[in-house]
Amino acid sequence: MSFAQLLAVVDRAVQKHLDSVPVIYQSLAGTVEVRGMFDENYVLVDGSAHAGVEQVGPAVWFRLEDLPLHPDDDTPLLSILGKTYKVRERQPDGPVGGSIRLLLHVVDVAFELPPDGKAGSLASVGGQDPRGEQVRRAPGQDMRVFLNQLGWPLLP
Amino acid sequence: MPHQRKVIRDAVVAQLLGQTDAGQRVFPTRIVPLRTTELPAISVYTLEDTVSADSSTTGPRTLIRDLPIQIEGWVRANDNVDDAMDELALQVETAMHRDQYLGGEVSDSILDTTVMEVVEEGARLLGLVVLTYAATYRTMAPEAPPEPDNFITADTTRMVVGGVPDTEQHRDEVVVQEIA
Repeated sequence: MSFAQLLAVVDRAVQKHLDSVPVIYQSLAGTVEVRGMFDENYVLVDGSAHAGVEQVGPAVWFRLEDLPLHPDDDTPLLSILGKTYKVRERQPDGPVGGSIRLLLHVVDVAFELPPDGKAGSLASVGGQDPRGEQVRRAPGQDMRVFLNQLGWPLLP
Repeated sequence: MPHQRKVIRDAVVAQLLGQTDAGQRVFPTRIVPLRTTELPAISVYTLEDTVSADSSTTGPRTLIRDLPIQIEGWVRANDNVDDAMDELALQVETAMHRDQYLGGEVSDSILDTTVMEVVEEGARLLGLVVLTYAATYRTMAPEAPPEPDNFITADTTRMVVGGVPDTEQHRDEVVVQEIA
């Protein structure tokens, strides 16, 4: 077993034991429900002011293969525990980059589910390839490979 | 009697109270952090005071002072945080321009600089706008309270304990310091 595979196994075990939360993840490629490790730590925001502002710094951790698109290529909205967030910073996590920590900002917009009212699973993520044919992301398929299949211009 | 800086600071707070979106959340020299739910809010600082060199030629001694008044405003907003900062800045400028003499507490006050900062570390995108007013005021050099008269001589009178009633009292006169 390679180190990356070993790390993935450990990540999954930790995720299972530390009570990850459901996250509705609205990606450019579709809306899916995934599980992430959510945290809100105390942050004192002060800039150059004499008196700062007490805040929390929400962040969520994912295994990359759980996401429909790599966050670098996406501008997702996330619904977590009833609040809507957007991503303000992407922090690749781990020595082999198999996971990512997203620092979040609260946004005052209502989170809209797809017309059927349900978030799909990763298997529902798909789109049209350059020939106009419907393509679905295969389970475990690397998201960048999948996006190249769709001919997305934002990828190298 | 309070220092004139405190009087000026309180005058600025009074002039801003209820005149901006911060409402009653205007604080003198606030150090305790604010909460996101308390925004917008304004804090007023007068932490640096320079005495003009011209003061040395005055008699009786008058101190001509240049006082920067820092007015710090925090706003919370979504992507339009710059608009929110500009709006609060306009409200502060309007309120301050209403009386540039701050109720007679300064000779003059004028907006010197405005610095804006977008701060994004927390859950909410916040904006910090700092308006600095240059105020000029004069104070007389404060008089020290008068000292007590010099202690020059002392008289002491002693009764002899256990003496008969007509025992003469013992009286001393002591010179504490000699006057030339």
